[in-house]
Amino acid sequence: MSFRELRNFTETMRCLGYPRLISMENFRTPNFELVADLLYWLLKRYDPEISISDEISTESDRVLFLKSTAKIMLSKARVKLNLKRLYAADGYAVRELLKIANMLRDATTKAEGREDAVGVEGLDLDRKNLDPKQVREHATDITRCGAFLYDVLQNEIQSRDLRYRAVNSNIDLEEIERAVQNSIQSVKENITNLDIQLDELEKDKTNLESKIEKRRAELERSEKRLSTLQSVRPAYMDEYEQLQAKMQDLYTKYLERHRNLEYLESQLELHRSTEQRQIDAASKKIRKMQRRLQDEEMRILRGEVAIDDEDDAEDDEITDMTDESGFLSPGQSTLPTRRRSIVATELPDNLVSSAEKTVQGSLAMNDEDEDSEDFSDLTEASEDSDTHLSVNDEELASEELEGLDEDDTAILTGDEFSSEGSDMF
Amino acid sequence: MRFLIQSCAEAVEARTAGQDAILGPDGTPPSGTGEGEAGKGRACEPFAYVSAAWHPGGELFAGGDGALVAHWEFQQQSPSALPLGTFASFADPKADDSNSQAHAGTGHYVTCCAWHPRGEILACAHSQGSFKLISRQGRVEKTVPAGQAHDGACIGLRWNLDGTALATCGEDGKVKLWSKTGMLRSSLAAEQQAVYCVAFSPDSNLLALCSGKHVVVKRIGGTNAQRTQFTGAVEGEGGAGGGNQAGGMAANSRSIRWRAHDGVVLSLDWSVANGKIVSGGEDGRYKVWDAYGRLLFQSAVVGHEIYEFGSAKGSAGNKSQRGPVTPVTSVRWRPDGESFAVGTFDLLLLCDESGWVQHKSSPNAMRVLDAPHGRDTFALRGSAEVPSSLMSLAWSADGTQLACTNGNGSVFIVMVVGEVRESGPIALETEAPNALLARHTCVDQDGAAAGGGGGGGLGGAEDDLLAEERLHFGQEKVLATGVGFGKVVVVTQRQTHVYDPPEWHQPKSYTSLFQQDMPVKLVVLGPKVMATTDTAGALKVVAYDTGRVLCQPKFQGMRAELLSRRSLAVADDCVAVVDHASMSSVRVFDANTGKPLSQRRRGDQGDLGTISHPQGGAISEVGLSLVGGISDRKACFVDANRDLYLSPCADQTRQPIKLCTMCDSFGWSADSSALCCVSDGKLLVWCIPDVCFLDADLLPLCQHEVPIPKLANDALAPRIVAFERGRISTRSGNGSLITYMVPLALYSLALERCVQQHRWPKAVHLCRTVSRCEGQVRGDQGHTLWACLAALALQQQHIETAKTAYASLGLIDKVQFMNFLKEVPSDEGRAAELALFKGVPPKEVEAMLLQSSLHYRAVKLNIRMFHWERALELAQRQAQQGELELVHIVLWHRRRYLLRQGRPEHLEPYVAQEDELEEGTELVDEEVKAKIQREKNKEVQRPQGMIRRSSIAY
Repeated sequence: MSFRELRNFTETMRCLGYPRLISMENFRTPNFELVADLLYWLLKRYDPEISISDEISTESDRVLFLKSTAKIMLSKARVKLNLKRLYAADGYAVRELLKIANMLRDATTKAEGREDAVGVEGLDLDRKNLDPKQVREHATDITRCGAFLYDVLQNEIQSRDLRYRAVNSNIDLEEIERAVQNSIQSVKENITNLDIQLDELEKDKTNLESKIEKRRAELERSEKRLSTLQSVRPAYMDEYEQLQAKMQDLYTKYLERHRNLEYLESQLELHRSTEQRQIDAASKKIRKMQRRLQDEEMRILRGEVAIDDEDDAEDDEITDMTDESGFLSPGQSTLPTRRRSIVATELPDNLVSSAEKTVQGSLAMNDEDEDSEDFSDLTEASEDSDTHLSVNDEELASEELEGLDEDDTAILTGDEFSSEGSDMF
Repeated sequence: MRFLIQSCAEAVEARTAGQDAILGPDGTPPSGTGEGEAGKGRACEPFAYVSAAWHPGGELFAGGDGALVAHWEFQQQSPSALPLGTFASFADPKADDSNSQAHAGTGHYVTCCAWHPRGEILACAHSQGSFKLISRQGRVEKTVPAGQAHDGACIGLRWNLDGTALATCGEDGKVKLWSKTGMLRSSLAAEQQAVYCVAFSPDSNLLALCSGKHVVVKRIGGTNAQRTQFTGAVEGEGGAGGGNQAGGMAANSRSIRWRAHDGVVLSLDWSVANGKIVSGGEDGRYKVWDAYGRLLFQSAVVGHEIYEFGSAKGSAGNKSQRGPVTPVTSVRWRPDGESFAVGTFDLLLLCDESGWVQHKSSPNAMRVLDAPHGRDTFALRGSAEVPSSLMSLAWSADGTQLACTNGNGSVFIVMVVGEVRESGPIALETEAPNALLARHTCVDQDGAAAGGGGGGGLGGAEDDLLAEERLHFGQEKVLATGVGFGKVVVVTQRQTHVYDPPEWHQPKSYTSLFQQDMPVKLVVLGPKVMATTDTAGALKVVAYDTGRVLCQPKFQGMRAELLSRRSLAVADDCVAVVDHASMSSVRVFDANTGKPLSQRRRGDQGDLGTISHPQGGAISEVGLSLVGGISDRKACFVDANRDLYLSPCADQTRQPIKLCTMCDSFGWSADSSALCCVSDGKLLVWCIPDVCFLDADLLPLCQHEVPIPKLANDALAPRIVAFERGRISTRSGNGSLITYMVPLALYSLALERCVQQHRWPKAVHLCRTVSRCEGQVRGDQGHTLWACLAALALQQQHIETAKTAYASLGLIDKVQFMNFLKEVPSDEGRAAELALFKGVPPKEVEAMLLQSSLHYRAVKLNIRMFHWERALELAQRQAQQGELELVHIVLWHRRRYLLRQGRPEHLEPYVAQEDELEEGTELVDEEVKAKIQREKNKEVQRPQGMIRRSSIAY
């Protein structure tokens, strides 16, 4: 009966944006208030300018309301409404209302179709690349634009007045022409001034440019000179380089020799100290021996021991000593020769041999003649000094011995020993 | 998640001048609609199509004020469906106008259309009160005229699920049932107000209708038992109706009526898969109900901002003001029952089964299918529609497409993409109708893929390895997907692919599992096999590795199309199905043979392979435990009162045991024998649910409650999604996914491992350690773990460990009993005593004893149970073989008993026996005791039994 109309009507009104819900059951029983409200809303929707009373409290009011609306719709929209059905406010009234609603709906649909697609795009919740940054930017843009618009619109009141005044005031054409001419004149003057200035500036510019050109040429020239100067080679250079190489050579030699010298000196020092120690030890022994001899002699003198025995004992001791040093052949049995050999040969031999050895070791590295000569000189020198030293030592030792001997002789006279000791010197 | 849209272009010949006049105001010419919109090729005439229906074969049909039914074909590549032209046209204006002057101005406007479930007949309701049946060829087979069908408009019609009945409703408040050929069967209801929508229940025995602000559920068929059950439910729920079906009360007792919405209820749908009702009304809300009218979910007002038309009229400056409440004009369940669609003014919502919104979008903002630029919407393409309500919704049979008709006359198909299915490390997301995005997050290389990393693998180094793969199926549309147990199953139109992640490249593909015109409906995965149902009504069990159909279980009254994830459970070796015919039983089938599972039966009662509800209540959900062999397999089910029951699959002798009440959802652990459920807002875990068959006293001790944080605006109970490796994932009522870590489940997993390897000392050690760390007071985890150990030890009949566990629990009596058990000399005797302890019925135990010829023990058992007659009977049977001792012992016990009671002998057999005895012997205490001792010695000395139970150890 009216289900379809009802359904279509509620749906259409929903599309049109009627601000309250129309239920399917609303028209099952007469409901004039709703019909009147719908009618009023539809009229307003059709033409907002329509002025019509929405008074429906009494019967006559209602009839009046319906009549006026029907008249308006007929005259403006050429829609004929059945007043009786509307007044009954039941399912049939819906059919009447649907006429207006459909018309409005078609109109909006068409309007939509002609215009662009309109932003009906709902919020797609699932958009993955909805850039929050961009959205925020847009939001700030919107607010900024809004603020700007607001400001501008605020000024609008004043500016509107001004605009009105400007538009409405009388206009004197002559005056305007004169003013325009004046301004044209002044503008022209300005233009000429500017032209002059421009010319001057142009001149300055050319001047400056020529100057710059000059400077640039100068710069180029000096640069060229610099490069030529840099490319020339001085005459003495070859010689200088040769000398430098030589010097380098010499320096290395010098260094080597210096090093060897230093080494040898240190070796010498070492040797000396060992020798000193040996001498010390030897002298100590000799002194000890002498003291014992002295004691022996004293004992002999006192007649405590037989002389033969004593001789044997002496011999034994001395051979012992020489054996220790290892230089004497067992054949040399006589005391004086033995003594001398101890003092004279033992030390220098030892030293020289060791020194030679080291020197030869170091020489093995660079076997130049002069070097070896030098070194031989050096060894000779050291040998000399050594021998000298050893001689000194010998003398010293002999002096001591002499002293002792003298003492001895002072004590012992005509003794075999003493005579032999003096023979030695 | 997002929607892809495909519009349905208008067929060219659909416009004739005569029909345009229908919509235009009387007397004014039609405002150029035909010419204006022809170039655009869109159905822009308002209300041209208000109702859509899918043919099961995959074509879309829609009808409306155009007084014709047009049809379209889905095309994957183009942004609009292929129009196939007019299917049937009802408008022959001349004849109609002259005939029906009574209904002046009303034509054959289609208000609702629906295809027969088998695709044979299209039923169309018309606004002047008639309806028509149209054959597949487009010929009008039958017209039921307005006077016969309805007065006023015929608003809605719906076929029942097997296509044997058609229900229509009309403006006159009547609901009528028709046969398939259009013969009136019955007039079901006569409401005061117009009935806007009807819906059949899954079993087609109930019909829901909405009238005014009320929803009414009426019983229209079914067995007497179901009828009385329904009546009982009515009494319980509404307090209305009486027990007898006589007189005026009968009508009341056969219906439930409740006030559903504050406004008129406009739409209604009843899910086949989960049995829930969703309704939408003029108050702008949608609500989810169960079949008894209990409110499950109530949405907020699905409001809509006033649409600004861009014209400068600016009526009353309502820029920021919210618009009027927009009615929910259409609701429709998705066939798989996991979500439903809600249509309102310029908004389409996809909601989860529990009600929360998964996605919502305005049709104009939806992305166009296969658009050259992926992000195109109709709005961006400049072909946007005037916003209007979604007048009707229709899901295609496979649940992948949703057809919507818009108030502005357009028809479009919506595809839902971006749905994610997850299981463990695998996630599967639909990207397009024919493409999937598969992800495999490898947590630890060896453990995760196998799903059995266990307690040890949990702490391993996690190096995230995300294998992402795009699966593309060319021209074929993905119909169903399944993820679980480390497998991914994708069913397309022709093929079935089984993936073994993380290997995505070489799926096993099987063809010819399903016929092309009978596509798959449901895929339920199990550890080694999967079960599928299709629209042809076959339940198939398919092995993953061979793709062979192992079996097709069938039983009397099976309705495979009614099966859902809730009513079908798959394990390695069996398949459990809720029996729709009897409702109070679960059928269990052997997965390899398809035969009913062989069970130990109690006498001859009960069919083979069924588990029945102890009180005969209606079972709504079923689940199978996933680990262990067939002897350990247990089924649990939830009945209409939301009680959770547990029952062993292979043993009918044990009654199902009620674990808890108010169970909202439950889940079996994928890798241990644990069971968890949400009950009365609490999350409960039973690590060893078997305990109720071993020692019922331990059940409360074994129960562990996981604390659930109370979430804001979360009125609904959470739903269990997965339970694996000690983690329970739940989907809470507001849609968030929450995972609970249950250490106890991990401990019990480790404990089970120990027990499986018979490492009892280690198990005890584990319990001690845990109870030291987690506390051992009742309710602490240590305590619960001891109870688990006791259960496991009893299950394996390791008495020493059981004794230790009971001692730790402080149950002295049980310890005593364990000591007693140790002293039983024979293995059979011990097994019998233990069976008694477990609660096996004494008759079974007696049979066990007699089988192993422990007669004294059997007699003593009956004496202990005060089954005097049976004791004597056994003794006499023994006496016939020449052993009189037992009779004497029985008589002696009886005499002592009567003496203590101070009562004379009144049992016939005993009187007779006493008489017989009179002549010879005298029962002297010492002698009888000596005899008893002799009997006991006999048991000690007897040779080892035939069935040596080596597992009984000390």
